[in-house]
Amino acid sequence: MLKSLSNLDPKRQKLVVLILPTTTLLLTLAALIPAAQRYDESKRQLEKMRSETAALIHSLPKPDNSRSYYLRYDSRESTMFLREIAAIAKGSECELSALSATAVQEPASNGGEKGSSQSPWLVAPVTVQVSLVGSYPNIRRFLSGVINSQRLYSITGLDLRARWKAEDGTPDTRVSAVIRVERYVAMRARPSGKISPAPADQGMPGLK
Amino acid sequence: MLKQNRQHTSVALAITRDLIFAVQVRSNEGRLEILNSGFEPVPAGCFTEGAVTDPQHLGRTIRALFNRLGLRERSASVVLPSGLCSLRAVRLPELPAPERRAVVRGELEHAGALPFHGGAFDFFWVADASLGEPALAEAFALYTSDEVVTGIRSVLRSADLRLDALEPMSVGVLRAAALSTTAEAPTAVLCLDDGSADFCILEDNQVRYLRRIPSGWTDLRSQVQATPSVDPKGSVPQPQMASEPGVLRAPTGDFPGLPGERSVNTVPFLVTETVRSMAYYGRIRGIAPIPAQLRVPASPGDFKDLNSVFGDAPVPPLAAIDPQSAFQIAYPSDTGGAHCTLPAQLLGAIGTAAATAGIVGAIPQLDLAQDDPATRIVNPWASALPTALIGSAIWLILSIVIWSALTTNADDAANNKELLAGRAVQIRAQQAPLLQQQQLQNRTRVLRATADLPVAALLGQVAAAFSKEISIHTLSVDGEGAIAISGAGQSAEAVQQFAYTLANGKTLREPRIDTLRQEALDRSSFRIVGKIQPQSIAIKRPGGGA
Repeated sequence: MLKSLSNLDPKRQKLVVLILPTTTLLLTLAALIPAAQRYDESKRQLEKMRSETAALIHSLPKPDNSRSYYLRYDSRESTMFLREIAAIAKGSECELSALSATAVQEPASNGGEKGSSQSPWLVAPVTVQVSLVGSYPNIRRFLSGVINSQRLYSITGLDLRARWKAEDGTPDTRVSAVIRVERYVAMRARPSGKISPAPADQGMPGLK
Repeated sequence: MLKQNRQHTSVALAITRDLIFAVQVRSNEGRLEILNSGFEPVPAGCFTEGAVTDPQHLGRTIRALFNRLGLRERSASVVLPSGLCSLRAVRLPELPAPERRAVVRGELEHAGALPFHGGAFDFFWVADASLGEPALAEAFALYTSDEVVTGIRSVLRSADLRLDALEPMSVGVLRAAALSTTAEAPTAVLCLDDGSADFCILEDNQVRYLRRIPSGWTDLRSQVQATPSVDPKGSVPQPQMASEPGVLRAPTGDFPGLPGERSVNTVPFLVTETVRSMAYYGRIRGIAPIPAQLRVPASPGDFKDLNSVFGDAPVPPLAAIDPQSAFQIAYPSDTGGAHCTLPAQLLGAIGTAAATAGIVGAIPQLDLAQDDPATRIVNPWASALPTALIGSAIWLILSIVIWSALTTNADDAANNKELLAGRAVQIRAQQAPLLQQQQLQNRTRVLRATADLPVAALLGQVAAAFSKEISIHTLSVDGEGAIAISGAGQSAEAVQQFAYTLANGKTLREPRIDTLRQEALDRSSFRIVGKIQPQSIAIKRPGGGA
């Protein structure tokens, strides 16, 4: 091939000398540059994915399992709440006289799971008014018992009233207390934004 | 059949003792167009036949001619006068084209025409089955010395030009003769220089026979002047005409006019040699068509003299190829066309320029400079060709390897990324319940932080401030954290002490006595209001800790 090319006239040799390397260079660059760009992009995405995966592995969520922050909102939850309040009242030697629940407050949505067909889980407060009769220290014990119970409660209001003996009008040593206790329940938001109690068989994170 | 080459221009130079002639031609769709031409006098002492004495001066003169004519070519072909090259015919067996050149050079070297590994030559290869069996061919080699080529090359270098081709004048004349006529009948061309003449027979515009006759214008004129009453009749062998018209047969009998006999012969040597050449050609070719014309490059005045010299010699009718009439090239006014070799020089330049422009026709270009070692230096593209080829091949292979590596690595990276993406999805799926639990716990923390009131601590603070002089009737804390304590004290001081003690605690903020009314001597009812301190959002774990 070289011999046949060397027999070409100089003008054609010049063309070959100029065009062949130039064409080769252009063609190879046309193939190499996109390949290099693709390689760089793949490498960059791989590194990004590696760092994201590493961060994902190291950022394992660690929920606080030492207390029960909320329970799934269903009939069983109300029963459990009543039972626990009664137990605390009994433990603090208070007489539980009444218990009335207010309507469930509509929870603020915190986004929800992207790409999920189900409505997100939301937490809503449920306020219950607990009426007690007991001595002042026992009322305090009851409050301490509520605050330090396994389940998370908030005391959002208190009304203490001294009791008076009817016969002589002297004050009774016991007091009547109306305590507003707020507990937290988890439920799924309805598409309209309303919340609905979760079915008993529906799984919820952190609850068994 | 002329080679087609679109719009390619070239320049050829004819350098005589007196004049430099440049002609620029263009191949337009295979037709010859003369674009420009001009003369420049050769400075005295620059050029003598056989040697260039001042190449720089001659080069500057050529450059001046180029500038005057507005020629922009960076190269030129040069017509080599017949006196500067020799011709030798070599009979060889028919050979493949790639082998011919080496064999012809070997023959020339063996015959002493060329020095070993030196000299410059090119040749016409005429294959003819009629020459014998096995097939023989005749190589008409034209050659010159290295000094001639080097001298011409140095002249062009001084003119900042490259040498396209160095072609003998007679070859250019043959090509110009072929281009000046469309007739395909056999033609004989006699190209006269000062001291020699090249006799050629063209059939179908192809060179069939070429011979150098050692007699030219100089001998012709001197002999004509010495024997003014030439009577060629009876002294020149008459070719025998065949019975069928138009066929030339070899003449019979003795032929006068051998070089040694010129002084005693009344017929010019050129005429007798021309006749002998035609007869010889007829003998070796057997039955061959008679050339229709004997074409001679000459000005009208010279042709008239020449025609009278040939007279009734048994040659075809003479016809002049005059560059002025054939190609509209005007003779220089200062010389007046007096020099008889000028027409041949002009025609040679036109024919050579036509070949360089691509109009080769049936007569290939002979380039005596192609074997010159300087050619390889002047033509850097030939030496760069292997480098370009090998470099391109290496770069191509390297590029393929790099491309393969890049593609493989990119694919690997993409696969790894897919794996990691799958792993990330898996991890997210595993973490989703925990994450949701954590989010709900955080939300619960926020809700509790805004709602929870430290009433147990408040009751403790109240208990701490309590005294026997105080009785508390009601204590209320609303959802906004507003506290109201109402009761009775035995004295206003006791109430104030109670309020003061409450203010020292951490839970109640800015307690103040809202009302204090003395209802009896030892009884004052009061109402203390305040605001509960915001509580920390920290959630205590059972048994202590946050």
